[in-house]
Amino acid sequence: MTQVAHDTQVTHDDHAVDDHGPHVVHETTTGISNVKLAMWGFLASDCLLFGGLITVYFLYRAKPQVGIVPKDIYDIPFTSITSFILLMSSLTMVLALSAINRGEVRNMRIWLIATSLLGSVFVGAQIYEFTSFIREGVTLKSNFASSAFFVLTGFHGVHVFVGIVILLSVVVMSKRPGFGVAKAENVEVAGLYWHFVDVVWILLFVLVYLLPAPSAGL
Amino acid sequence: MTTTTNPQTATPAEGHLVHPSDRKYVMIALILAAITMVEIGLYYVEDSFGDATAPLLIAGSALKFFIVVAYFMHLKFDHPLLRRMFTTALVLSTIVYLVILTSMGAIFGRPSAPRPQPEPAPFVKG
Repeated sequence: MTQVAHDTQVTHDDHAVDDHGPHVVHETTTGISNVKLAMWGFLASDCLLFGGLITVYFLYRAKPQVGIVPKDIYDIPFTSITSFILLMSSLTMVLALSAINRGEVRNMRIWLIATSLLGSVFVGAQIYEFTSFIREGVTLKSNFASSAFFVLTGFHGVHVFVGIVILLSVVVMSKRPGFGVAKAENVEVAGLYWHFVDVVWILLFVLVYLLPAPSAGL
Repeated sequence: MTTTTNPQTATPAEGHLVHPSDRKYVMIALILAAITMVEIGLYYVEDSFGDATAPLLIAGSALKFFIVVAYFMHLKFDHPLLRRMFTTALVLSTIVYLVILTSMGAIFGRPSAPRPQPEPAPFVKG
């Protein structure tokens, strides 16, 4: 009997769930759930995508610019607060996973909604930032640096928005009867995506906003 | 079909994931917040650190990156294959893009002046 096509979660008995989550064995050739493996594969490829966008940003930032560049009008205190909000959303996400691993579906929903709200605040703040930049005359077409800035941070913003949709989908899914510890992997996979969006912002916040101007080095 | 595993001895490869406690997650989040505050502080005292500012900021963000990936994404406790897959992509992309940035003078050098472009040849009809 081939086991390649199987992706069955089995627990060693009905009481196998403790504070550390269910002891799950996946009957795949790798021993990893296919969904989880696919998500990690996607995240690995997304590393290359964001790496490319960051590279383009640095290449364009290093070019002589015409007009105002985003760096001239950054509001660092504002962006610091939004970065902190996104960072804390990773905590609420991991607490949601912890809750479902204990079988606490209601708590999981509360943490997931909290994560979505924090993500929404971040996206709202990014829209506000973009709007204020455009009002200052910095648009997608202003110069190389502004084009690279809007594309890079805009791509990340879209990722956050997709993350919010995924989290809310899990909340809706959890309303179905039978949603419990056995479905914890859905929350885990959604969490993987959310944390990845957070780690990308961890890099972008430093590389785009905090790093000194090109003339001072990197 | 039921498979028996001993939770005390099971390895990540066998599917047993040992997650940190909620208290530990909160501690990790506080550490991340502290590193972020240090980074923001570094931005404001950039002149005091001079050329060391950029490496310090990058080191701080790299540390945060690895903490989130290891603990929040559970890569530290998960199947080694996932760790290898993600690390390979990360290292590969970092090397490739660093080579591109270095070769084009975007890092480890000052921005180059634009090269003068040759005038296009006039189009001659016929």
